[in-house]
Amino acid sequence: MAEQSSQPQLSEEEQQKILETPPKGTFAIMLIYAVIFMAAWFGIYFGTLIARGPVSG
Amino acid sequence: MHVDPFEKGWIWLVGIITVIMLGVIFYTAFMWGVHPPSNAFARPETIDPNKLHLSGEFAEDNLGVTTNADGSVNVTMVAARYGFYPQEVEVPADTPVTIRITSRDVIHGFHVKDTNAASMVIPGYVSTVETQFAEPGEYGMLCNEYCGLGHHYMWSRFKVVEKTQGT
Repeated sequence: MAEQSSQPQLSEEEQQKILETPPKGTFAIMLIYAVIFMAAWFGIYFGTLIARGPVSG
Repeated sequence: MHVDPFEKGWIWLVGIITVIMLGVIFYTAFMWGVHPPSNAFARPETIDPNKLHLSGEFAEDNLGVTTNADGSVNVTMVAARYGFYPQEVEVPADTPVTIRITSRDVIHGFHVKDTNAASMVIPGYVSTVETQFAEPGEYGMLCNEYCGLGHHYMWSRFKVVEKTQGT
């Protein structure tokens, strides 16, 4: 006996539309990564290294 | 060559981040003078490590802290397995300090903890670090280059005192 799928049935048009739209979730993850990384880097560079004073030789 | 669009996106993102970071580092290096001590490459100062104790700047009697006429301070030290000599150094805060250090035996490093004062200490060369210490306190001066079985015991005290009490 064939089981009925619980997935909504998408038409060819709907499937094509999903495939052609930009991957907003992926871009959101990339942006979040970039913001966290840059914030941490600038925080440590200016908050710790620069804050401890200049050194030369 | 086909590159997946997502791969391309990540490559661009990482490339832009790298360019920004390098830009900040180069700007602070050239405009603010924030860079590692470069005397070892630009103008290496050599010395015979086997004769340090005999005479000259790094003879035992000449080690320690001296104050110049303009109020700046010189710290002359020797690194040797397994300690820094002299073992306690006291400098005034907010005063230009020049640390000159060399090694008697193997490659060491020194780092005044919680500050940017750090350098390799290589036998045959004199390392010079010029800096200022803003906060009075007692700092550990650690060897940060593996130099042998006693490396983890190699540390000394670096004291920064209020300016009026400085030597």
